[in-house]
Amino acid sequence: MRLGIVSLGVKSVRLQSTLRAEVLKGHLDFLLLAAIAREPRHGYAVVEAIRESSDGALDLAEGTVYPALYRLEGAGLLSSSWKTVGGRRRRIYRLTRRGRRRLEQERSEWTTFTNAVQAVTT
Amino acid sequence: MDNIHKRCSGGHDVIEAYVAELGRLLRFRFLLRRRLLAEVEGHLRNSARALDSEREAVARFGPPEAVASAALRAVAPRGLFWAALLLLGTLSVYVLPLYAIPENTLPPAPWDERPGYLTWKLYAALTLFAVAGAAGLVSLACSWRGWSRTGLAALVSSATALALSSAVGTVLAVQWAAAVPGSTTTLMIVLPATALTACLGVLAAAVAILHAPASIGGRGRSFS
Repeated sequence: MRLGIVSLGVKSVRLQSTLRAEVLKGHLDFLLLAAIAREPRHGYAVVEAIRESSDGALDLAEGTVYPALYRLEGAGLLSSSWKTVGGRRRRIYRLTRRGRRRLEQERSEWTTFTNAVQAVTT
Repeated sequence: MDNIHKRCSGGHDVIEAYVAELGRLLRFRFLLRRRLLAEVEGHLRNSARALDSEREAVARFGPPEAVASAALRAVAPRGLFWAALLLLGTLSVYVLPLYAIPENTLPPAPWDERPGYLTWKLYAALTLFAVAGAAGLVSLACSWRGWSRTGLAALVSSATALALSSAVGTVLAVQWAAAVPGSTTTLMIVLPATALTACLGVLAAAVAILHAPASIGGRGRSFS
């Protein structure tokens, strides 16, 4: 029985972690756009900015960031160029006008959503 | 990850081994490979400095197979878009050997009614051309919307229809030249032009297939 509870606990932790990963994945584009909107950054700086702004709560799977940046660039929401930073060539990403518009739209939808959830749950 | 461990035992540091493995997975994608490897190596070096461990930096980054596959999926719609544009450009050039050149340079035909063996080939070449054009437009629209799988299928159909149209058109041109005296000069222009358009069509299909590997997973763009 005790073993059962322990196993349930492990499952629940796994489920929580899977859910968190899924939630993060669902909002990855929004988070990336928001991080880059503050200032143009390279990939590593984007990951660090998200981690630091969220006090470590949003810890992205780092390998997923570059494909997502390429996808956003392909969709015309980001532009990028090489720049030498600290003696190393880095690809710096910045928001395009379209990306800025998209970010505003995402922010507004997010605010509506969180307000609605808060109204129901509190 | 096994390959990374093998490379490490062969004298590479962990980051070098990771980047080399990622490069191996993207060996047929020169431009993507060059860019991604440069970005990933810079990222891992920074991360390793912050964590004081190359192994942890690599572990946090994730398996190279997943990164390569996601990167390929991310750039697929753009590759497909350019391939579809190339194919549509080729189709518009193909109008020259298929219609414009023969119409303006062939001597008058000696028959009152065109022989059946030429008629069906002419209509087959034209129909295949129309199919290639329609499928090419569908491919362009799908790549714009980020529907990679449908777009790729449409593009391959379009390239196949173009190849068949040029094959039928070539046979038609040769038979027409044999049936109509004085049309050899036209044949000399039409045949290389047809071969060229067929090659460009195949090239467009190859570009699209290289950009859209088997791991492609539906929509590439989330915001289009």
